[in-house]
Amino acid sequence: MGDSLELISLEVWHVVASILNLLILTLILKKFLFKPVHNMLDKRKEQVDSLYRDAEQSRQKAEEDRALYGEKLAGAVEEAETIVRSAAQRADRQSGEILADAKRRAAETVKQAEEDIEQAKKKAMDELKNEVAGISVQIAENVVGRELNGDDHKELIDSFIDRL
Amino acid sequence: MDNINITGAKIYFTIPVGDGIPVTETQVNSWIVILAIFILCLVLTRGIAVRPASKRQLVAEWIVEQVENLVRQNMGEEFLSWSPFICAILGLSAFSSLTALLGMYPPTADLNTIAGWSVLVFSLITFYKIKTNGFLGYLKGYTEPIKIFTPFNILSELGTPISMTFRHFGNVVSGVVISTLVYAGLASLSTLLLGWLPGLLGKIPFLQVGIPAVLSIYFDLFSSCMQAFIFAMLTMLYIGSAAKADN
Repeated sequence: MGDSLELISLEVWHVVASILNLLILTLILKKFLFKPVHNMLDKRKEQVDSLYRDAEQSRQKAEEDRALYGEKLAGAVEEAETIVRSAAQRADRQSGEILADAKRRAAETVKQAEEDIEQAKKKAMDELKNEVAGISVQIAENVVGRELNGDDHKELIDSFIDRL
Repeated sequence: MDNINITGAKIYFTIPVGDGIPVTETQVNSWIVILAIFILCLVLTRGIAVRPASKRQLVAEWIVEQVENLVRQNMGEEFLSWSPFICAILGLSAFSSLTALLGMYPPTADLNTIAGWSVLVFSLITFYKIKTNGFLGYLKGYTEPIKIFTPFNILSELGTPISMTFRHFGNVVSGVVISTLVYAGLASLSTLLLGWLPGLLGKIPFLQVGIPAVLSIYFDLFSSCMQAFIFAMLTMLYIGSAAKADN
């Protein structure tokens, strides 16, 4: 067993050594514990910041997109309404035209038919007149017993029938 | 019980400079502790990454975070760069005392070790007082509130490092002394009670098993960490208040 120091003893060099030990350990901790951890924490902070920034950007973009789509949607609804309205108007107009056309045609047809009827009536009247005139000449021939000059008398009879 | 011999650190050899500088257990064990902390730092921060890949990294982060929180709370944000120093005090003090668990001589049981730390802290306190108040302001601080207080102020100023030293030293060394006494006492008691056992059996100090472990838990584990924390706390509070204007 070698010598020992007294239980309570002060030795200047040992005090200095103790101070140096503490300073050396401070430097060791600073360089090998605090610095690496801080470097890593800084990097982590940077990453988290950039993540948050990205997220914020995405959120803003989404917000803008939503506003844009909302606008577009509103425009589309309006457009659809316009289309429907104009289509309805066109349909109204067309149906009106078609109806008017149909009425006009119907009127024309009716008129035509009336004219035809008139003509046929007139024709029938004329034929009847001729027939009556012929029959009248025959009757007169029979009554008179002699042949009348057809053409001469026909005029006479016509004027007679006209007077009827 | 006459073989009880409580001494300071063993002297390994003496460097022949001047009167001779003895190199003791304190120096060697201090360096072992520093080396151990150094290796611990390297292990904890190995492969450190933004996304923690290991539990070691979490421990490293936790240590840094806790020490910085402590410094922030007790000294203020502007003293954050002092964290490594505070961490060094905590680590050196706690690990030095804990070497007793390994049956080594704790460097903190050597008055010189603690005295060194206290001298350093005292220098820092004085430095910050002068820096904050100016040299004249620092001197004037001793004459307040009235001139007659000057001797007492000087005493109380010097009392700071001395009380810090003896608080820490006394706690650790009392643990060593009490442990040694109890150990020796248990050996005697064992011989007294169980000495009648035949042959070698009577010479085994059975009572030394177990009981010293309880003491060790208090003195070595609890007291070590407690004293390290107290010393670090006092350092932070003294330096922090010295740096505040109008102390």
